[in-house]
Amino acid sequence: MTIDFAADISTIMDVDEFAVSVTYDGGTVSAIFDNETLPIEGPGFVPIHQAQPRLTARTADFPSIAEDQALSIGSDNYKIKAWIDDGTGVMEIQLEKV
Amino acid sequence: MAHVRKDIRDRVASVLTTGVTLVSSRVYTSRVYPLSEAKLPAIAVYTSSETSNLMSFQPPTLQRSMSLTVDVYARAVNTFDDDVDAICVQIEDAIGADFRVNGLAKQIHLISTDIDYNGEAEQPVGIASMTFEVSYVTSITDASTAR
Repeated sequence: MTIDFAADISTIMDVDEFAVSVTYDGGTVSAIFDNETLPIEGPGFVPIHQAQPRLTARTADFPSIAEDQALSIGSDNYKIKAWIDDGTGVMEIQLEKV
Repeated sequence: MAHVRKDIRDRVASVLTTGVTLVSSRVYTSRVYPLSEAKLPAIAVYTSSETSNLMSFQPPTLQRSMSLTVDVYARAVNTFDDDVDAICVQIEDAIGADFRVNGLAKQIHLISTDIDYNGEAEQPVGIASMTFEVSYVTSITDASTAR
């Protein structure tokens, strides 16, 4: 029995499920957006609390991904800074808020 | 009466509040809670350690050497490193211009600076930790008056 993994990913990435609409490269794709606040540690006594925006997306939706490409989610604008492709058709994209 | 250490910490914070315009008066003393984005850029002042030696027997007098730490926190898209260095310039100049800490100390000078950058969050942050050595003198029976 084969598992239709691509169909599962498409279901998860549906804006009616867990995803949001992302404006990217002249079009719209859907992806899961996380913006968790994390402590950023450094040599100082106290950490900085800052949001850490990440997209979990279909690799196929970002075929020409490159650093500093622009995208927007709602009214917020971001630049792509880094990404990790997990090899199963899903990638996590690190964003920088503009 | 307050310890001279507190008076020195407060004096340095006051000098930095006036002299470091790049942080818009966001100068904290002994802050223990994390800084949110809305509080950046910022400076935090700590008196973290101190050693002392008996300087004289008559009257009994302590020569104290204290580490005073000034932490710098900045966040910016492209200029986080330059921003940290620019704030350090203002800190060094302001403290250097108050070399005797308004008469509370014999001298204060910078002995080290550690800088770290982080790109994990929505905008890069730069954090510098500057350590100053402060020498001051008190009577062995009166830690609240600088001599």
